[in-house]
Amino acid sequence: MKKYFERYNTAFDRIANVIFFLIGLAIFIYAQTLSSSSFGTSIGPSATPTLWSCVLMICSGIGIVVSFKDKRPPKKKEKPLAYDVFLPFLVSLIVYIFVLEPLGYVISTFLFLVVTFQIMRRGEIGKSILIAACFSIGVYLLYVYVAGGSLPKMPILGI
Amino acid sequence: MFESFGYFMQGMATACQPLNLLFAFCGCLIGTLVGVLPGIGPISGVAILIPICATVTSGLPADQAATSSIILLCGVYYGAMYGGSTTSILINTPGENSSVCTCIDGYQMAKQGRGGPALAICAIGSFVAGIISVIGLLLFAQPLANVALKFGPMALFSMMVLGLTALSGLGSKSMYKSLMMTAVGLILATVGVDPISGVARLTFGNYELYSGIEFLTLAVGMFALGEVFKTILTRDYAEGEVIKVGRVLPTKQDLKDCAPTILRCSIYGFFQGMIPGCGASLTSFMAYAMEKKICKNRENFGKGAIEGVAAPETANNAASGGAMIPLLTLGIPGTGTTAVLMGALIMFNITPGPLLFQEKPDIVWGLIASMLIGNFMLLVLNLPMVKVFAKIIETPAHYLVPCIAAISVFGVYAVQLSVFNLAFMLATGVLGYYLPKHGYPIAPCVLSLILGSMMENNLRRAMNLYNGDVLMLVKDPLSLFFLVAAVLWITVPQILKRRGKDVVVEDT
Repeated sequence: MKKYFERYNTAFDRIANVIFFLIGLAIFIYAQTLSSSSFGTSIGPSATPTLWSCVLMICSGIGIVVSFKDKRPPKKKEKPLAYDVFLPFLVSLIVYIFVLEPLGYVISTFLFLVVTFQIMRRGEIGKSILIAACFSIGVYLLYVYVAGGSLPKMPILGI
Repeated sequence: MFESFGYFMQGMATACQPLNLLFAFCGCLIGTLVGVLPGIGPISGVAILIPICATVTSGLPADQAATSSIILLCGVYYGAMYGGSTTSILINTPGENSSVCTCIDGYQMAKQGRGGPALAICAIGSFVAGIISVIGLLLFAQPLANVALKFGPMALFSMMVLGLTALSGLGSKSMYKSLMMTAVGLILATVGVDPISGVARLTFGNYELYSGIEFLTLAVGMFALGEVFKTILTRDYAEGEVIKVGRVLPTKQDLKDCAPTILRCSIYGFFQGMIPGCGASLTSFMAYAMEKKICKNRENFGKGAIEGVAAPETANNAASGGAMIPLLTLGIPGTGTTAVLMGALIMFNITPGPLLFQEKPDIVWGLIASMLIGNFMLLVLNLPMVKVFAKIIETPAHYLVPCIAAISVFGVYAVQLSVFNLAFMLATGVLGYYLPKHGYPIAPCVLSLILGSMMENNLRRAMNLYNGDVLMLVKDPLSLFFLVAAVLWITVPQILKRRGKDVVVEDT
């Protein structure tokens, strides 16, 4: 359980609040281009985007004031995050998503799993290949042939 | 009450159909695994399983598919609540936020060689809490639904405002951040073609956005991928040494000592769970604090008291039953997991709310009856398999985490068949790690996405009914009541804080 107003990174808060405020403002301006009533009714499609964007602007405005007023020294450095693992994992996931359709489910999932198993921990390549193959082929067979679903097929072989 | 009991018996018949029993069993088993395994929690477990359920049940009639899927997802919910306690007791690492308190006495018990009875009392407490929750649902659900049927569109709109502020008010350490995330979710709900005027809003010419932002994509991205990224970045692999379980069954004295605690915490947890925003974490914390004050064996709390394990585990399970009341009767989910469950119900064309009890009694009572069966299955499943689940804790995270990411991709693609949705899921996954890390809760955002279109429909219906008179929001007594309650929900914690009081919040 944590208490109200625990300290957070004020630099992040400042940037996030400014971005949220700008998003709110952009949506507010966009909403004004929509019709304010439809088919003779008193309220149209612009009403709720206008209302919610105002709420977003007010809350992020408060956030901007709070984060810029906060002059306390930054909190102690926390444990370093594992970006050396996260960034390659994220890149692999992005590549996986975009090659899923061209390469088919089985090949793309197999490659993604082998690569990410190795990113998470080097070694045991044989075990990684075996688990990745079982997972990708198993999910494909169960989903496509047992459940009757549809997943991207392998190129050339068409299965 | 008697009418409800009759419906409940019909629900039992539905829940006892072989297929539904199988789904309840699978749900409890998967849920327990979800609770035990690192890198995946109840919300992400339920979110990932929605598309899989949709696929598995695709050949069944619509109502049957919905009933079976929801029974499975609820089983996952309860199972995960229980599974979280296993890691708390055996390696002093809570599987879920709601099991944080269980670590205090549970781990001490395990170190004293009493890990087995600690795990068993969690299962027994959860079972009793489940029974009391079902009794509570029998007593309160139908009358509350009957009252809610009388609400007009203005009152419904204000009630949803109250639901959102309740989750925001208790769901974050910073009110403005929570409200900001609520507004983001509401804005996302407006994306797509407006059903009344046919105008495309915030689609920017992208035809993939015409049908709106899919709840499933956002939920899997923010909860499941967000948790995967968090596990990787923080190296949260739960690699503590697992203590041997030993004898599983508690002694008669243990049961006698725990009986009053289990009963008190079941009732307390159920009522607390009914309040939107008071999820399992907050309830288990409060129940532990309460028992520490009133329990006979209070001096041993923190040193391995079995009541210290029974209290939070019973309360968190009772709270998950209590949270079903606002979800099913009012259509207001009070916690992150019930918000995801509501999204699942809507995906299966079932709109939670008062009409559900009139229009689909077989589904709603089948679900309630399945809670009882699910809790019984958890008891039967967990007592003999405690040692197996203890072994599962040792599953290497470097194999598990990429598999969870691959299942998320599979789940979203299988339902949406769209790479755009996968890219959106990935982006929300990154936000799902960074935003909560800095105090911006994601549950209000997902809940707002679900409630947004309903709120808009009710507001527009009300405005048409009252010729655009916005003041009807405060002229309608019920609407005024809900709005005042919403304002109090936001302001009271602020006032308490200004007076120097500690305000505890639910982690969403």
